[in-house]
Amino acid sequence: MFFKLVYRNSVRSHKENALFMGSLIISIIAFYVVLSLSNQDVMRYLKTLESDAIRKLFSMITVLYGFTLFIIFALIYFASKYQIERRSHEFGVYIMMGMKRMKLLLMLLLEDISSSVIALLVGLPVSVLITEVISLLTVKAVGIGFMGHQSTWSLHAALLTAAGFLGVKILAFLILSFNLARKEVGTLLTDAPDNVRKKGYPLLHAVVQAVVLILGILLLIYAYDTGVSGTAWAGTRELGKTVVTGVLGTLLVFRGLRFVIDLIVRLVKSGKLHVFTFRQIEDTVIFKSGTLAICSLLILVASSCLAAGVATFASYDMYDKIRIDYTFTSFFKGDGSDPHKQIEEMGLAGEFLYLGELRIAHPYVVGDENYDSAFEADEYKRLLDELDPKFQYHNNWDDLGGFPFMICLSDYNKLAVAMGGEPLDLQEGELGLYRSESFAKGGNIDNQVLERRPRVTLVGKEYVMTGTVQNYPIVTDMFTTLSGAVIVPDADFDYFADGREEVYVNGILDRTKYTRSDMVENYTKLNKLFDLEGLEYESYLQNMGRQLFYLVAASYITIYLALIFLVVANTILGVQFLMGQKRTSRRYRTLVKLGADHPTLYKSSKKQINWYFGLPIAVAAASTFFATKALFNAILSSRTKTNIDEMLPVVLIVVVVFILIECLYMHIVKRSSSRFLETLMTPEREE
Amino acid sequence: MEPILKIDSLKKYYGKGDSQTKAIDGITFEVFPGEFLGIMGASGSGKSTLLNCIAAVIKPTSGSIEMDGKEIGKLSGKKLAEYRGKDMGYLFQNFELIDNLTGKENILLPVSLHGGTEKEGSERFGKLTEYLEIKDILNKFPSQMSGGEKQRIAAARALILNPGLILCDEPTGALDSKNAKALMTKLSGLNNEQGATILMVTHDSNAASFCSRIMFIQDGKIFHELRKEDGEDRKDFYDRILKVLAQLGGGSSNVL
Repeated sequence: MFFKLVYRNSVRSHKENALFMGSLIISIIAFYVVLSLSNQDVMRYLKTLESDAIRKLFSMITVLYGFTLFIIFALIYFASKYQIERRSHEFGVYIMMGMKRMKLLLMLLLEDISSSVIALLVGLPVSVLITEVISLLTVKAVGIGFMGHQSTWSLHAALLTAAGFLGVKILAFLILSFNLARKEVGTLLTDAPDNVRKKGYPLLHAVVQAVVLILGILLLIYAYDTGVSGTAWAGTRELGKTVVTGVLGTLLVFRGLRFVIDLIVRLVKSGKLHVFTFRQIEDTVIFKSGTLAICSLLILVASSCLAAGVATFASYDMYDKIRIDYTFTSFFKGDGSDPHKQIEEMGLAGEFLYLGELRIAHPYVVGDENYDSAFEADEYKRLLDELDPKFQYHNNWDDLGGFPFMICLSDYNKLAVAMGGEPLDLQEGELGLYRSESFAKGGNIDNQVLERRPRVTLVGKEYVMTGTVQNYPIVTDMFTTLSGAVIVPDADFDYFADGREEVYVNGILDRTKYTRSDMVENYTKLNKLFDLEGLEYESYLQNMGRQLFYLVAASYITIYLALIFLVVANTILGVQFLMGQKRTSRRYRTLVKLGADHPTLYKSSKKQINWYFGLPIAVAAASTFFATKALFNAILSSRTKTNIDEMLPVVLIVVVVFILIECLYMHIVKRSSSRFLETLMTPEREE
Repeated sequence: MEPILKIDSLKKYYGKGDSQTKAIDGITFEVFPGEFLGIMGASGSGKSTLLNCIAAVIKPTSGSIEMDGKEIGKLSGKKLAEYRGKDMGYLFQNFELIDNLTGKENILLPVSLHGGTEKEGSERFGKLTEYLEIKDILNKFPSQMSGGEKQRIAAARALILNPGLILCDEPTGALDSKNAKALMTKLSGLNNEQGATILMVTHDSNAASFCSRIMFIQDGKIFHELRKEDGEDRKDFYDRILKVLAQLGGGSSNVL
């Protein structure tokens, strides 16, 4: 009999509560996705390129797993809490009929276990499917199809998922059942709202709340401004300030919202149950403003993570971008080696669209004693100080120092043209400025200085600096570029270099020889040939592996976190709403007695749900707009930033996905609410 | 004069066969406009079932209930909801005020439920709140009101749409004697001065003495009827009620 009851109850609760079951399944997916990360094809591939970084990432997975445990605990706790509160009356009746509390808890435990097992049975296959799809999609997006797909299934991950999930579920169960065991039977049998208003809404209150609201908005504006203008990224303190004002602003806005809702109650007078609906909304704003604010912040974090993750991934297109694919390692002129010639002899020159030398040197001609003052640029520095008095951008000028790197003008120009750029035009007595892409943030200031043609001296010879700041990469490995150098006309370069220049041979592959999808394969093939020949080189593949690693890791983790945060925020909102509705069921019963029909109540409930979800989403949306702008400024490199318009479709897709998820949640909550309202109408009709 | 409420051979049975309970077993009566009808009876006599049938909360097994010429058994959906809210006002034992609405908002709830703006109800609202002496508590929430105040707010709500019939289910049940008397005075005033038709179910003989006619129900049937005679003192009517109750509950001829 007892087990029959357990069985019936669990069957009923699965049917009744899509939200609960959905949350359980999502938790399982969340665990499995993290734990099976190492089995993803892209990760297997990266292991062959960047094993150290991958090892570091996998050690981070433990942290991510721990974090997921914590977040999922919150999710399950809330969902189960609603489940138990919804049935409190039923539990009261069991106890009144003489069921011992221990037995009641045992019954709940068995129900809990059965629902967990079902969730695992459904959730694990779904998670395996999802991870497979993710794996295939990333492989396709990254272009490593030649690796061959391997199943992501891992027993280890599945077992850890089950263990984590059950552990979290049992912990939530223990806490909730402890609370349940302490409750009086009378409390279980009656539903009463948490908080009853004991005071009216005096004018003073309204004024205070209006002030709080305005203060909140001002704080938010401050946070937005510092975020978008970039000052927030200047340091930990500034960033901290922005975050604190943002959080505080959000909390205050929700605290002060009562003022607005009360105005709506008073001013808008039409619509069925208008006053009731808005008083209900007002209740949540009064008693649950903290929860709303936290959910709003969670949604903000989720949407920012999602936007950042997707944008990072979308900004990656290794195929179209023209770049140096190979740099054959430097040699000093005259040491005998000539990679250019070797490649020609191998018959591989045809693979390259461009194969050319780039010469770099210090002004060695000054000798060992004078290298501190080989380059004097006082006028340049003075102009920088004038244009950028806050010293925000030009703090890396010192990298040029008194003994700077020099780049040979004609070599640089050939490379620039090959990469689709304009050559730098220098006359006799003129020098150009080179800064690598990552150091080119102050480009504008530098360009303004260059416009004024500052006078400098190099090894005692007078020059003016001119042109625009140059920043094409000069070797393939982006992580070992020069931060700054001067570009010197050929004759002077040869003289200053004193025959001690380093020579790099750069190669740009001919894109017509391979397609997007076999780009990586092509590298692998050429690398093998060069290896056989004993050439020393750096290929873009290593570089790409490193980039790809950061990219995949960053987008994977941010998108993952985004979805988890989104699910948690929505579940909390949904559960809170449904619990609140249950606790205030008396109000709905009264309305039924006064002749309200189900459509009227449902309409009011739908409106409440729209507001309940809409308020935090609206605030989060406003914040997201500025947050993503700030994030894009911070994350994306200067070149991607210029085509921020191209990011628009990406952002649009994110927004659409977001809206779909929100609509889905609201729909589920509305359905649950409608079913609950029906239970308030039916028994009295039939009696 | 046409009756406002016509009840004909109303029956409500629960269960089947041996275990059948006849909560109402063939009740017939009429209520005329301006009447203040009381229904009394012991617990389980069927008076609440009768009230629930009239309020269309439960469906009778057989018989008919006609309100203003409308057969309410045939109403459904929107019309039924409208009947509950508009044609009839309901005063509950436990007030049934919504705790997060102010007094005023509670009173105007039927207006917003059954269409209409605050303006439409405002004239009647003004009169009612003045008559029921609740002007000072209109902006308070129920938790800030005394029992008597709550019931007077509830009364204003029941009356706001000017229903043809006001159903009162033990309206003094949750009030102390002082507040109970004050409420009954107001209700009977509404009946006398404004001609409101009231049907009240009560245990309380004191409250019942405000009625103009009282029906006593026992085992689902009308057992006796008392009518207040012209010029009869409330005290005398009260004594007569007590006598019937004594007969109904404990009269020696009734000993089982």
